[in-house]
Amino acid sequence: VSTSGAPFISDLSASEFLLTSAAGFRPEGLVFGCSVFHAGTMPRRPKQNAEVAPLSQALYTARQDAIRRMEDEADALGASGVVGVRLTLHTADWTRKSVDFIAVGTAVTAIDGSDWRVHDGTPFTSDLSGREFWTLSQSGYRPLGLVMGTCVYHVGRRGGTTALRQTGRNMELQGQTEALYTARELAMTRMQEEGSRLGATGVIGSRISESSHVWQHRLIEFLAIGTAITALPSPQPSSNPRTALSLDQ
Amino acid sequence: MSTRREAFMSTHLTASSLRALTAVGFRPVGVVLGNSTTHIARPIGVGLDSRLSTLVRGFRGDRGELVPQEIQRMQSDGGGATPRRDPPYLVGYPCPHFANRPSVAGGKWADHFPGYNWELPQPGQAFMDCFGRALDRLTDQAAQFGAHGVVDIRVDISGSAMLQGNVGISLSGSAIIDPSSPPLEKPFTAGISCQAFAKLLTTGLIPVQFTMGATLLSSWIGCQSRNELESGYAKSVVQLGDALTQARDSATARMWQQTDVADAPFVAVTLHHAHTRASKTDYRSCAWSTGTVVQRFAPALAESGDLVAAAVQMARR
Repeated sequence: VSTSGAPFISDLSASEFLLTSAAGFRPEGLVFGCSVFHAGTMPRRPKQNAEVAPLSQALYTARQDAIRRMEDEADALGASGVVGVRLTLHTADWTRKSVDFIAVGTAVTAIDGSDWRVHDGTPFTSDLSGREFWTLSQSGYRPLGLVMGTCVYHVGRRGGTTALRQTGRNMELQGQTEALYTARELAMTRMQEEGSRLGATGVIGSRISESSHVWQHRLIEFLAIGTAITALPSPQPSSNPRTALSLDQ
Repeated sequence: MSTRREAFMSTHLTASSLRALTAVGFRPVGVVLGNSTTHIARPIGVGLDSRLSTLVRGFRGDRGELVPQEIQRMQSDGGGATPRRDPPYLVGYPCPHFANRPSVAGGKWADHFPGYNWELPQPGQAFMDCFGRALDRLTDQAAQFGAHGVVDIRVDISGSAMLQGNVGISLSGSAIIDPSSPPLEKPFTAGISCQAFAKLLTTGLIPVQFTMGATLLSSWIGCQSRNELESGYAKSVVQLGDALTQARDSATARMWQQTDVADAPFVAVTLHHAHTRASKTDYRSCAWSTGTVVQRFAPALAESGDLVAAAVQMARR
């Protein structure tokens, strides 16, 4: 039963629920936020390798809006944070060139009443599962927030002369390699900067994905996302994990 | 190319993996990336009708390398009696009616001709070179971070699996460090998960090197295989089955040849393959495999009891 006395709704599995409870948290309810984003066209030179900054910013803002609305719902429930956040993207069928971002998670509250909110008073967010959340708290860390960095990059095509010169040769395409490298690094850097702004000591479970969404294939979005963590002020001593060799695999 | 702050730890490890890693004395320093996009040229002769190629030009190897002696030898042997199994691979599938030569009779192709499975060495080598460059960049970035190794390396391959056109290989892994040891010039690399790394370490093994092998075979369909493919009955297509087996065997062997350590075992080997039909009589089979070489601690180091120090010492060697 949640703080309000009503039965809670959660997408935690049975074991996740038990481990979240063991970590000292009680589910308050399922919370979500969404944002629909229209992907406009941007003028660009066909051969140019460059970031399309307005699109990078727009995709970042759309995801942030979805997360912020989910945090608002958690705040309304009086929750300390949201665990098991899933940030998904769907291409809407009812309109061309638009995608919708949906953030779903389970709002939780500390059973002992301690304050787990981040410094600006918003509930913490994390895409860690209930099991991962328990392991993290046992390791002396706590999640601060879901952090991400986006970079939409236009990878220029080869010129006709260059393509002709490279015909029949096995060789690295320097321009494309550098473009992909730069885009990934920019996304990672932005994710780390967001973590720094939260006062995190690190980001765990980070993933880098790339997608062209509704654009043509030379326009690629690189998304880096993970959970920013920091050390607990007074971590409880815990035993080291033991190595187990499973015979199932 | 890295623009990130080294002091800020970011990792794609989960909380459980992080716990396992810290329990054996290492800690993550950051996600490291390496990628390479490579243009792989279309092999000359591939995609043509095998009957046309055999009749007009004789059998050609990769990039126009004529290998008439082997074909003549095979044809004189009845085809395929003495296949060449050393790289580059070549084996014949003779016409069961012993005709073995395509011809034009009455304005139509005569339908008796041998089939060949032959390796295209250059696309496979270009694919492995592409992987090597990506791995070098990943290792360089880890060395910049002062890391002792990179674990949980994930491989993402984009582009044509048949190695024709542009192929991109992206690698990402978690760089790890033992804070008490000086950095290595070349960190070790491993495709195994962090928890598997912790298990290996506690059992006295250390990953040394992450390697890849790749092979591309072209199958010129002979009349026997064509009959099997076009038959109304369920039949095994021996030539294509052999091509796939040989491609997988060869890719694994190449992966083993890439290692710098002699007679070292591999763990967590993954093997992938793909088939495609380039033309009515030309099929292609591609296989690539990745694996992690492991080594046992030297007895003296293992007896020291300090697993992390022993692991770093082994990696330094």
